[in-house]
Amino acid sequence: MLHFANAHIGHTHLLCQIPELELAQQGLYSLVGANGTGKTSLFHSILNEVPLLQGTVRLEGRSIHEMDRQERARTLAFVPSRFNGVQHLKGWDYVAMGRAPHTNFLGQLNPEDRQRVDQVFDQLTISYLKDQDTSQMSDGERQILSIAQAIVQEAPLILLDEPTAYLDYPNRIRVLETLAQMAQKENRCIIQSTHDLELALCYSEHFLVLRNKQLKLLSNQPIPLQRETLLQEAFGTDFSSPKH
Amino acid sequence: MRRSYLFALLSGLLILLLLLHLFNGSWDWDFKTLLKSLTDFDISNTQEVIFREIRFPRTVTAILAGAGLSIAGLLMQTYFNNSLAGPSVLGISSGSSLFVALAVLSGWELLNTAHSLVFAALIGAFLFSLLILFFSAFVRSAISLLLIGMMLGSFTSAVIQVIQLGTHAERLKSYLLWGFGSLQQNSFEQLGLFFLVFLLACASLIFLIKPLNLLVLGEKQARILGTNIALNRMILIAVASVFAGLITAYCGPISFIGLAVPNVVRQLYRTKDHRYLLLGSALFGAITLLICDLVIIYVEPFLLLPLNAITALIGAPVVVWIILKRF
Repeated sequence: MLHFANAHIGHTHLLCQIPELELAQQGLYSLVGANGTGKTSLFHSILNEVPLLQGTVRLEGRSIHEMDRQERARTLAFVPSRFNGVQHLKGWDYVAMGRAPHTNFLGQLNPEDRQRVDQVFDQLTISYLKDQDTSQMSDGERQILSIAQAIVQEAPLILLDEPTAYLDYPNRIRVLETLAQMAQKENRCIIQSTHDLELALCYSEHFLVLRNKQLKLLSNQPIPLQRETLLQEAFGTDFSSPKH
Repeated sequence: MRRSYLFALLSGLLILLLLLHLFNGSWDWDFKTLLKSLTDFDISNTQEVIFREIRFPRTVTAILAGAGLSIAGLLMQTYFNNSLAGPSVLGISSGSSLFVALAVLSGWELLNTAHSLVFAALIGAFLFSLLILFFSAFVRSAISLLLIGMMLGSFTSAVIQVIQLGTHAERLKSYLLWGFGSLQQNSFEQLGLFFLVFLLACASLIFLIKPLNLLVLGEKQARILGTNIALNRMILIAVASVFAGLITAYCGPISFIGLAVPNVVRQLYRTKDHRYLLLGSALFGAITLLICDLVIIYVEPFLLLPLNAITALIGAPVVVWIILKRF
């Protein structure tokens, strides 16, 4: 589905080098690695916010960086780690912005667009947020709305930048459950970057580990990944894990 | 529902004020005279001359200037994601003033005709918009950008003062009068160009509606949702500069309208949909400037108020209210 070919990632100097990697299966992927290893840069490179130093990234066989804007927006969705809300912007209107890559130059929503938006609110059981002002919601509610926006965008690949970083424990579980469900039901490839390894081990099928300028794919199924293995892969052998 | 009511209410109010402004104090005049003065003008008829050369241009100028400044303010507030942005705050009007000052005060005769004044104001507005855009690439904080805009304003007024020192008294007088802001400097003949450029700028707003609605989420997210930011940023700055420069050329620097009106409109409409915000800002901006000018007309027998004094008297408290609400 997502395919890296000799991709060199970084702003001015090389942060990560991916000779050949294919994310063949749909599912929830967790991108882990120490601070400063380039998780955010990897996302920005896939999103074409920062050009690749070298190589290509393909989605379903087509180079992401050669698509035009609208097309790329229909293929790729991005959820920032925090949406602070905008005064007077209602929940429904915020989610409906995800339809932008599918609408005409005036941004008019047709009945199918509206139906799709309503459907997502039902699916995530958050219909009570439709008419609320996004600036007055809790962080958890806003995070779910951001995910809803990415879902109505109908992109096969969704990137989330630390979606649980600002959330309390119940909301973290809620967000991860939602993501895992979406990946399963709608056959999408969802990649979240995270530092929350324990929860990620519970919910994600695959891990992408960034360390020493290398990106490594580890599978959490059918055989569950050991916590110690993951910690070692991500942070090295000199890392001492917390005592129980 | 709320939006339709608001639209009807604002339109009604606009028409009422328009009539009040156009026929102020002389209700015995009728539409027939007005129409005749515009279509089949008879120069020996005093009423027709007053209508054609004084009343009609002043009313039209008030409506266009109020609407245009408010739209320019809304565009800048959305783009910079800052409800205290506006053509006068960010120094765009200062740019126009500087170039108009250069044109008027230099006494370069070629630059002294009405059209070249407009041209000078447009160039000034556009150059200073680009300057602000350039600074905005380096300063991320909204407050810093406003401070830079204020510094641009102080700097240009200092430059203008220096130019004034070596200027002939007559030219100085005409520049100072322009600087007070006035809706009476337009003749019927000049309105044509004003109106045409205004319409062109309004027409290009259609292409900005979708990008503006997405820019509410910030540049990055708008880009990821498929917006061509580089292109739309240029269109947006060009349109805002045309509005600000055009109006500054014809009416002098008018402060506060562009800053205050979009904020009031957002509170009234309670939406982020720019189809409504643009229309609302245009309507409410026209209404506000008509009210300001009516105040001038009504107190004229007692004292001669400059337009800029009125807009500041009304605008400054509104701005303080915005700040108190936000912080």
